[in-house]
Amino acid sequence: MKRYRAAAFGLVALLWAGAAVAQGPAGAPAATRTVDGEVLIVLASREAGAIDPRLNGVPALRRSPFDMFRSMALLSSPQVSLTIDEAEVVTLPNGRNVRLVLREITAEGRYRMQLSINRPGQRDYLPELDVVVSPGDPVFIAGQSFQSGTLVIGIRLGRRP
Amino acid sequence: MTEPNRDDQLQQYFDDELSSDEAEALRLEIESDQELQARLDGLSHLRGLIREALAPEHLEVPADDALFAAIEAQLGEPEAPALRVVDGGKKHTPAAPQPAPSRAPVWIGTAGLVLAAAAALWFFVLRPTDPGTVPDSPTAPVVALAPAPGSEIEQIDLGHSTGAIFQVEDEGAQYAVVWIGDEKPSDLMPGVDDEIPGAVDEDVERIQ
Repeated sequence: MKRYRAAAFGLVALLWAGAAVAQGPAGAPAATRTVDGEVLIVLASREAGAIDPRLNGVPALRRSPFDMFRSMALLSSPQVSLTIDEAEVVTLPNGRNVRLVLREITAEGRYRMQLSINRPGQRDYLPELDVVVSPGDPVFIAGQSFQSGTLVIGIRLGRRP
Repeated sequence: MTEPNRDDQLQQYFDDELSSDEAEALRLEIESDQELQARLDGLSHLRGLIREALAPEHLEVPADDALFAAIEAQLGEPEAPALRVVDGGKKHTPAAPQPAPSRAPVWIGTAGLVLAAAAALWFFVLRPTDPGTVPDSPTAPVVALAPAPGSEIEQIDLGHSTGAIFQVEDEGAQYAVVWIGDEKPSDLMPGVDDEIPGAVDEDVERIQ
C-alpha cells in the first residue's frame, strides 16, 4: 500500500511538472500563433464553358448564387500564412489588394479574420469585413467585374479536421 | 433587541463571560424584558438538548498521554508487506497453500489512477487554450473538438459600395458570401433585391 501511494504521488507530481512545461515559464511573452491559408481567385462567367477541376473541392461554388455562372476558372490561389494582428496582402488581377489580418483564434478553434479589398491607398470597394471561419471553410467575396466575367474571391484558413 | 451585538452579549451572559457589572446590568434588563428572557430560556433549552443528545461516552476523550499511546501502539503493529524481498540462492520450503489475496481493489485503484492521469494530461497539455499560451505552430493549432463548420460575417463596412450578404449552404454548413457590385446580384438574379448602400446590417435579406 505504501508503494502504491508513492506511485500515485509520483504520478501526480509528474503531471504537474508536465503542466508547468506545457504552460511555459511565468512571465514569458505570449507565443505567436499562425495559420496557413489560401486565397482562391476565380473568374466566373455566364458564358458556357468549363468549371475548373481544381475547384471541385469547393462545392459551395456550385450552389446559389454561384450556380448562375456556367464557367469558372481558377486564376490563382496564392498561399498565405497569417499571424495574429499582422497584415498579409494579396494582389488581385484587377489591381486591388486583399488585405487579411488574423485577429483571433477562438476557443473553439475558429479564426476571426478582418479583411478588406481596395485599390492601393483607396477605400473603393470593401473597406472592412469581419468574419469568423472554421478551419478549411471559405468565405466568399464576389462581384468585381474583370475581363468578361466576375471575380469570386474565396478565402479559407487552416484545414478541416 | 435581537440585533447581533445584543445576541452576542446575551450569549456571553449565558456563558458567564461578562464582567460582573455588565452581567448585573444585563440581568436587570432581562428581568424587565420578556423577549430577552425568552431568548435566555431558549439558550438554556438548547444547552439541555445538546447535553441529552451527546451521550457521556461520546464526550469522554482519552487523556493526551493515553491517546498518543494508543496511536503509537497501532503504528507499532507489523503491517503485512505487499512485497517481500527473498534472498536468492536459498531453498525455501513450500508454505502451506493459502487463499490468494484478491487483487481486484488494487487493479481497480490502478485503473482509476490511470484514467485520472489521462484526464489530467488532456486538461493540462492537450486541450486547446487561449491564443497566448500555445507554442508556435506553422499550421493550424491542434483542436480537440471540431468547431461548427462554416463561416459567418460579424461586421461589414461597405463604404460607398453597394452589396448584399448571402449564405450558401452545403452539406449542413453555411458559408458567407458578400456580393459587392460592380455587378449587382439583383441584376443577375431575378427576384433578388438586396441592394444595400453603405453598410449591411441585420435587416439584410439573406438568401440560403
